[in-house]
This record gives sequence, C-alpha cells and structure tokens, in this order.
Amino acid sequence: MTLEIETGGVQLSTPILPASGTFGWGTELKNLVDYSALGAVVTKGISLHPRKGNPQPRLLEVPCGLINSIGLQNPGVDAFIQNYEKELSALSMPVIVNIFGESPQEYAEVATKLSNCHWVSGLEINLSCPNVHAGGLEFGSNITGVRDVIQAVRNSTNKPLWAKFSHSTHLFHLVEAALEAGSNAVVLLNTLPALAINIKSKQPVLGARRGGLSGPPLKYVALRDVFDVYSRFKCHIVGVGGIIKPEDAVEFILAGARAVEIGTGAMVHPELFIKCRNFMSEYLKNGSYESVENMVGLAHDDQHV
Amino acid sequence: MRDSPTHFQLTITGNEKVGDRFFLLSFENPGVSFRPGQFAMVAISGEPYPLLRRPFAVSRTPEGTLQILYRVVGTGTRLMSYWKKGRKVNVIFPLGNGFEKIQNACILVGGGSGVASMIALARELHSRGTPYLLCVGTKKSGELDPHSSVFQNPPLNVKFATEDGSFGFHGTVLDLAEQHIHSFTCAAVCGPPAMMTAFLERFPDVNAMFSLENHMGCGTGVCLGCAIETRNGMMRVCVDGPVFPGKILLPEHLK
Repeated sequence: MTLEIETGGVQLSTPILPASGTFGWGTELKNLVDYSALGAVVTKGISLHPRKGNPQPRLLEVPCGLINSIGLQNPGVDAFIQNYEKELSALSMPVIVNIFGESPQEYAEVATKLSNCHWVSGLEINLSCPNVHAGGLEFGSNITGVRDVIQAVRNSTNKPLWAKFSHSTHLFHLVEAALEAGSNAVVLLNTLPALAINIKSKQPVLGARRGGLSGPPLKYVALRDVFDVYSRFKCHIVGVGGIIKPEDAVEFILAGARAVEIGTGAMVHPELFIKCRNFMSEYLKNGSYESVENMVGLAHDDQHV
Repeated sequence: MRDSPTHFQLTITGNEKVGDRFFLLSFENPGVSFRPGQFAMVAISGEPYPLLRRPFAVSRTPEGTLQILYRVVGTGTRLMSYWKKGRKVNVIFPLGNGFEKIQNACILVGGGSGVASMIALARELHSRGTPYLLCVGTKKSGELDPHSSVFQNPPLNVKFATEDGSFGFHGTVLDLAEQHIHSFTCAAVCGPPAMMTAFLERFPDVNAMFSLENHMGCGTGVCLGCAIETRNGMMRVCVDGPVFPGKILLPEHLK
C-alpha cells in the first residue's frame, strides 16, 4: 500500500500538497506542520519583478469562506531564489514554484531563471493574472492567452508544468489549450471572483475592491470541474478548493484528481495536512487499494467496468 | 527565551464580563514562555463558520494563569462570550514578536480594545518594579470596569480617560497621556488606527513602540493578508510585528 503517485511529471510521496498563497515561501510553518504529510511544497506566486501587492484591507471573512485580495505580493524571482534557495533545497520533498507575469515573455523569463535551480521540481502557472497588453483580461480567460503563456514557458524550461485555472464556462477549451501547449497537469481551481460592499461607506470593502473567494463553498465547484475535466481528458489533475476535512481530499481523488492542494483550510488548521494523509492511508487500507492511483476517478461509471 | 508557536487544547478556567462589551478569558497555563505583545490565534469552532481563527494578545496573572482580554465586536467574539469554564479551545501560540525588555520608565497608552495589548506589558513592568503608567481610554464610563481583575491582579498603576467625561479624565487617552508623558522615557501604544496616527503626529519625538492590530488570515506569516507598507518595506503584522518601533511606521498605512 502506497501513497506515492506521479502527478504531472512530479513524483509525490503523498497526494497532499499546500495551495499556493497559503504556505508562504515553503518553510515558514516548520514548527506547526508535519512535513512528512506533504507530497511537495507549493510556494506563493513569483513574478519577474518585486510587487508590493494591494492596499489594506486585503481580507474579509464571509460566511464559511474568505475573500482575499493580497495582490500577488512577492519579492521577485531573483530575491526569491537568493533568499529561499538554501532552505528550499534542503527540503526532502519536491518544490513546486508558482509563477505569474504580465506578459507571456515575463512568464518565460521567470521560468528560465527557475529552470536553472536544481531544487525546483516543477512550475505551477497561475493563469488568473491580467494580461496588460490585452486590456487587463486574464490570460486564463481565453484560449489564446492560455496557449501563449504555456507555450512561452514550455519553450523556456524542461521542468514539469502545472497550469492553474479558476472556474470558467470555457474550461474544456482552456484545459485543452494548456495540454496541447505542453502542460503536464492542470490545477483546478483558483479562487472564484468575489466582491463585498460596505453599505455605510457605499464602497467595496477590500482595498483593491475586487477579490477571490476561498474556503469550503469552493469545494463543490472545484469537484464538478475536476470530475468533468477528468471525464473529458483523463489528464493529470491537481484538485484544490475548499478542503477543510480529510474526507474532502478523498472526494477529489475519486472525482479524478491525482493529488490535492489544501489552502484556507490548512491556514486555519495546520494539522489538516497530516490528518488528510492519515485518513487517505486508512481509506486505501480499508478499500484494499494498493495505491492512490487505483482510487483516481472511481466516481466515474466507466471506472467500474 | 521564547517558545516556538505550538498547537494547544487549552481548558478555560473563567470567562468573566469586565465591562459593557469586554470579557476576560482565563486558561490553564500550559507552561509556555512568551513576551508581552505576543499573541494567540484562537479557533472559534471546529466548524466552517466562523472560519478563521482570531488573533488576541495574551497576558499572564501573577499566579501564572493565561488571560485574553477581548471586546465583543463581531460573530467570533460574540460566540466566545458564551464560552464556559471547562471548555477546551484550540489555540496556536505564542506568535509574533513582542516587546523587548523595557528598562526605563514607560507610559502605556491603550485605546478601546487596544488596552488588551498593554495588559501583559503593564503586568511585567509591575512585577519587575520598572516605573510605568497605564493610560486607558474609552468613549464612556462602564466600557471597562476599573475594579475588575484586569487592573487589580496585580493592582496596576492605571489612569482612565473617557471622551464624554463620565469617568476619570475628561478627554481622549492621548489628552491624558500628554499630561504625564514628560515623566517617561518611552511609550507603548495600541489602539484604533486614528489614535495611533494621532500619537505619531502629537508625539513625534517620543521613543514609542506600537502594537498593531489587523485582520489576520493565518497569524503565521504565510498569507500576507495583514502586510502593511512601512519605511522598511512591506511588513507582516503577524510575524514581523505586531510590535513595531514608531519610527518605521507610515501614518497613511495604519488605516
């Protein structure tokens, strides 16, 4: 019985990962998280140049969820490598670096710099970033944007690529474009677009006005997208969204994900990672499955033939 | 020596009403060493609502009991106000950087719920015999009971200000502090953004440490939800603070 699974070109010792943006630069939580639970660490998003991020307030708790507008604050790829290389290369598990840019060229330049880092096992490509040359439309909102970014990154590195999407009614076409352009896996889903208004000030609550919703309600949207994308493409999927208890992680695997990322849930309860790993182990044992791979997509009728 | 942040299941030993909307929550002491100004992330429930932990300054009585002074401001603190003795609460602490050891006479200025961040420091200065004065400001009398164990265990050197003059000094806590600040070589401040900004403007030459409050997602430095711009660049209130020297703060970014 093993929790090991190869996902999008990366060998994971467990299918339990942190979600980008909720696990810092990868080593901050060493005192609070049992790293043996993690199949990999996933960093916050890194760009070519440093970014201050958005003005306060950046967080708003809503019923069962959280709206955030951090604004992709990060030190830039050069400072990231310089400041965190030593600690990250000392980790025993793969390091997935989340990257973004304002143009396909910027994504490619970040990828090129990280390509030279032996301790980077793969790149997670955040496609929910505005394309400044296309009126701020997110790359991930249209086929051209997805194809341009993934192709540019693919031409810059041989490292495994995971393309991360938010929900879209065009998701099939976007996933197809990412896979054709050389993405090894897709990550479903990023936060959902969200907004809250203060009726006293008559203004949006968050400093940047718009934000992204995370937390338990996302699970059902993400599960549906994982289920549908798996059904259509049988591709490698990393499921993310709203995992707050160990059973949630199993649901994602049954829907077709080969690994899961846990964000807001583990930010609140850092012990959730090890609880998920232990529960997954028990679930495998109780079902007499030899590996997580045997569980992937079992919620689909055609898996039972 | 400070201990690393750890998960605890702490047993409540008391949850006393100490004013109109203030409560004093007491826990069994798990034997953790921490500095005044450090805080705890308290899980409100094991359920998805309210989702996030809440950050609270932690203090210690002379007997060693851990205490959190909190004001009911929303759903999380309202639910906390119903907590009873014996309940176990999931807490991560100690978090953040507290106050360095203060050797010289210090004035402590707490406005509203910011008083909570001053209690641990006042108790430490009191026990070490360092001269101090705790200035507490509220809008009106009754918000915080001066006879409660917050101020009486140990009996702190405290003066109260109310904006409507219904108890103690008539004016803001900064008006009160202004009358005494010349007797002290440093200050510790916590309160609403407008009060802290006003302190920076009124007392620019005072060597002051500020304990900042902000909404926090993680409390551990990973989400950047509480990050603010300072003269030293972007800083996370939770792990780079919550205690910051006044000279690095930018008033326009305290709001």
